Amino acid sequence: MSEAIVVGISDWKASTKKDEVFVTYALGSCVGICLRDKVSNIGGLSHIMLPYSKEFKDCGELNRMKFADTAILDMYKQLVKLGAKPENFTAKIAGGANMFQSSVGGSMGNIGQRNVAYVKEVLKQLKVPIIAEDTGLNYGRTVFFDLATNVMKVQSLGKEIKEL
Amino acid sequence: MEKAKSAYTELEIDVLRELGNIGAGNAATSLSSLLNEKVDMAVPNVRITSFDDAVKSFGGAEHLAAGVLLSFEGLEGDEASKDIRGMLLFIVEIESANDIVSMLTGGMYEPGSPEFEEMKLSALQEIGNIMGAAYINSIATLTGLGLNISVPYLAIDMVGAILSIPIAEFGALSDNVLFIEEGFIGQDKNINSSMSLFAGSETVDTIMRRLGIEV
Repeated sequence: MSEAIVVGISDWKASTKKDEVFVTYALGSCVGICLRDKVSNIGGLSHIMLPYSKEFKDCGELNRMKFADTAILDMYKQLVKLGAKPENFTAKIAGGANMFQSSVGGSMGNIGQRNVAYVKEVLKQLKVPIIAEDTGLNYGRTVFFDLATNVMKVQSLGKEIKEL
Repeated sequence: MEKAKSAYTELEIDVLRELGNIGAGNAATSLSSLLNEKVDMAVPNVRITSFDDAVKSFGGAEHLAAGVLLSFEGLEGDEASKDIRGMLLFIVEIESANDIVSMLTGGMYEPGSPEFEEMKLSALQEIGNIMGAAYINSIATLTGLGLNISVPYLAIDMVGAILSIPIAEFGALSDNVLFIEEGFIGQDKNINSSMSLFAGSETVDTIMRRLGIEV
């Protein structure tokens, strides 16, 4: 197996190589979106940090790879450009944890939850079915996505590796 | 990226470093008196880096650590401090976390058993809480700004996942994140840890103005 393509924070990568493997490390509140054409294997992995760019629409130029709405749409369009068929797309998603808890009760913010909700909304608008997910709870996840098998592998600290 | 970097002048960076020095100095003093151990610190680093580089500076995405996070903001109704928004992150290396809790409890803590694990989690939060309050109080005193600090929140996980919270909070508009990072080490004991202050540009501007620096 060749070296996995690393997807950074606020980044996405696409490939037409049938056995490409992508990896993104230590998703916390961020969400990883694995998108793939089930016929041609063309696919990509996106690592988004925030739900929607519209919230900041008056703030000048934004990094489109950072937000679920723009990142998923851009990756989707790029995959289609590379030859993928929209009707063949399926998605798998992971991340969106609520990382910080307090022993006096409560947790820090709900950005993970909002990210997951909006990723689902964007995929719904694009009519891409989500066929597997490992989201929420309170721990980080490293995600590998294999275009040959469509397997999303999720590694977390002190937990069994999940293959979804 | 260049835009975010040049948004801060040399003078502003120096002032942030000095704020970090004072804040972290007070935090180190409180850690030292809690543990009854000498705590050393170097000159703080003011970092303005990409998200991935920020994660690298904490040992890499999958590096395991304990993190205590506190957020702070201006007091309600205080016009001067209303734009202030920041977070303090106390990171403890895993091998140090057990030693620190053991020191705090006078050697009562034994790693492994469930009740002691529960005690470790509370103890780490409380240490972060006391250090964070010392840090923020010194900044409040220095700037005359009224500041409110949250309860402490804990995560023991990969640093990439831990950092996703402050990065998401302060990284929406820029592809860089600003933080003032200070490392602590023990003179004799293993207390490798660090405290970092994350803030947005509006907060930095407000602090500068309070200190009489044109922004």
